[in-house]
Amino acid sequence: MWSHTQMITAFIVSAGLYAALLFVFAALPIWIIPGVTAIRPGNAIPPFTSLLFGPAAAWGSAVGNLIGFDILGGALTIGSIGGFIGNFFLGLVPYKIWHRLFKEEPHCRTASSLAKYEFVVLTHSGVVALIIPYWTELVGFVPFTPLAFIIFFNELISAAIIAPILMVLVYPRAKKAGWLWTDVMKGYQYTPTEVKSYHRLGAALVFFSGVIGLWITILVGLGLGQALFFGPAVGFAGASLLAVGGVFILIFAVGMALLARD
Amino acid sequence: MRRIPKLVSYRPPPPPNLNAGEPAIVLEDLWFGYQKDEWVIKALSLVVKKGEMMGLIGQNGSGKTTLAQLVAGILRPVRGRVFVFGKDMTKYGVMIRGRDIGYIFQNPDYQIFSNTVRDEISYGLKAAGMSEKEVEARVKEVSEMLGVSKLLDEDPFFLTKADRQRIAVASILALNPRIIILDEPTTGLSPGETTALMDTVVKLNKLGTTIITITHDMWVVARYCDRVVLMADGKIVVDGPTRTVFSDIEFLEKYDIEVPTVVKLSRKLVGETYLTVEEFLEHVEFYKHGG
Amino acid sequence: MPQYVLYVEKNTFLHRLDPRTKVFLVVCVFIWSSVFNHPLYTGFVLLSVLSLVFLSRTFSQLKLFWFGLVSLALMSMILWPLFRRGGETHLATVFGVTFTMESVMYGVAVAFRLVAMVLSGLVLLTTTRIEELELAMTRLGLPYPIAFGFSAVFRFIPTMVGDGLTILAAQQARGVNIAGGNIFSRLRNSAAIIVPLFITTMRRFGDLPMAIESRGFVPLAKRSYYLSIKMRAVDFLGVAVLAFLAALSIYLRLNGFGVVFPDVI
Repeated sequence: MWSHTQMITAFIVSAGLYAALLFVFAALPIWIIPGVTAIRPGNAIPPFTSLLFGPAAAWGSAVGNLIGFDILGGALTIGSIGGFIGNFFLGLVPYKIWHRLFKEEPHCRTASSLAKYEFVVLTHSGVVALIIPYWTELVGFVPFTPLAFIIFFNELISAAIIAPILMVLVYPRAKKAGWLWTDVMKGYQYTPTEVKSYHRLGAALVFFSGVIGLWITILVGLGLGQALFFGPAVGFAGASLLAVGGVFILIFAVGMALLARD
Repeated sequence: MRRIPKLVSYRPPPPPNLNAGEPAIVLEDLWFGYQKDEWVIKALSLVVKKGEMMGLIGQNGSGKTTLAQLVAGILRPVRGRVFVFGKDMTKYGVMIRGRDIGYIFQNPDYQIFSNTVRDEISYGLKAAGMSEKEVEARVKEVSEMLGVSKLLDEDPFFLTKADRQRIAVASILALNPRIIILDEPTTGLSPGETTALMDTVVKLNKLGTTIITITHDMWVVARYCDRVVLMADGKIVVDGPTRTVFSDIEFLEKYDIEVPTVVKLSRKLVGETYLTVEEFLEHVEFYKHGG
Repeated sequence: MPQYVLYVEKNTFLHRLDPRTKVFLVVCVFIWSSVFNHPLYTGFVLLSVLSLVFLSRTFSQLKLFWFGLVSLALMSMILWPLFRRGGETHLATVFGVTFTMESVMYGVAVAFRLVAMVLSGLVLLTTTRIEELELAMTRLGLPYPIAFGFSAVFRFIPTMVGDGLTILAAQQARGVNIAGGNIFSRLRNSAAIIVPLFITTMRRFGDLPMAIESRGFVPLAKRSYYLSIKMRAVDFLGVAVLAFLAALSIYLRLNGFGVVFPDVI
């Protein structure tokens, strides 16, 4: 994608929009737990730019979060690496699933288009809530369980409510104006003409790891199922959690690899 | 070579139309800055009367937009007070003040987001909880006033800048504000489009709406504004009737303000200040060729 | 314009260092504070970073961050004892959850670690220009388009935030309620901010590909830079000292120093 100047513009717009909105809405926090965690309307940007700009939005979300949250917010730490990777997938998963799986357009103007879009939003929220906390647990930064909880709901609530409204208002215009990623990167299909079975399997694996796998890992973090899998003698929830979460991340990687295959 | 026609006679322009009404906006010792000890607005006081049509001019960075945004409640002063129709509104933000003050931005894209012009114009009305029937009536009224009736079912996104500007204005006018602030509304519009927009604004002014317009087009000020406020470096340098202020051409040039050619010409020829070509021709008579 | 960039113009030892040396410093702070999980050791790392903050004379710039840093530390001290179970020394039982001395000490150690890491990142950002950082990243092997995009985003952020705040005001002035009401209506209404910001930005950038290509921009071409950065003797010395300390800290950890829980980071 880097050989298209227009994709680089799309990358700058998705990153800038994400970073700027994190900044603008920081002045008006919608608190869930006052002082601890707030819903960020900016979280609706990755699934929105993803379906418009494709791969440019994946890099855009990663860099936008790095600038808006880590650098301007002064939170540049080892956790930022996990944030970068997690946000990359926030921008990657939605368009990847869509252009492999759904023949309908993501205009969100029919119940079925909306339902597919919400499925994508749910999946991408689960994926990021698995990846970032796994990293912070791995490097001894923030424990997995509470962070996974917070990230999952923060991402899901904003994106599930705002992103479809954005799609209704912007998608038809972007299509008419020729802003979609497939307008620039010729040779790719915005929606598939036929759905291949390994793409279906890939999407299923991504959904399974991101949504079901996430919750199993959270339960392990809460101490449930430990005795079942590891016997009663394990001292740290950390070890079993990393093992279980690691398996789901592997499944996720396999799913993404299948989706990437032509 | 054409000869410069000889002057026969001229009549002085009409006296300034001083507004004696009650104050609409009162600013008392206003101070504002983004950073400590870097003041963008310094000890500024100003009274704008009801029904006035005021032009706010000055170089870039003189504080015009900052002042206008302090009036609208978009920015809050560090010190000083803002009264709107006699009420102290210093503590209230843009949402409360928005009921009295409509703010029209230079860039119409700052507010347009709906899929049709109709939805865009009715958005604020619906948000205010107006009934369907009333909304429809208001939309019809303002869209006729601004000449966008034919565009109601169009997507504003694909319209020209002039049309988008008109729609932005319509969506503010629909809310019936008693004060309207226009922040360089004519940037990027042709003279014809500018005239059309400003004629509508004058119509509203005649109906009693107080108007403040920020602009770099001096002919717009000369033609439409009764009063001019010139700002420099966060302070008001001159404040007076347009004719009086525009009479001192040299003084204005110090602030990079260039008065319209007709003003320069009338100062040179007859020592009076005529603000528009029409006014000039109406008051000054020349020898006619062969006459 | 309000301020967005953290860089403070000063002429200190840290400002003069090559940006790559400072990036390496941040990496080393990550290493030093991550290899230990005993509060005395991570506390020592934190003190060292704090002294760098004083050396760089950027202390006043960080006033916005203290609240966040304290919350981060408190969060760590509360959460880790709940989730990092283990240890022998019983401290207390609250609502059936037992706390051990070790897990509490671990929480404090991680709190110091987190604050040290965040502060080291802030030292980098307050003493290094974005352009230098961008150049350092390309020199360290980051593909140019990403580095270009990165710095472009930085340059456009003041404009975009300015646009965003103006749009917020414009919509609030006509009754779009974003500051109040229930969560759902606030989220719905935020679309009235996001869509105009997106469209304004797209219109602004509509001409950008043409503009940069007409100036000879080829995304993946090799390029030269006006600004130059150079590793001087003091930088090499700095990198050597930092690397030695990193190696030392790993050696100490492998020999059982500086840990409350030996099995985890």
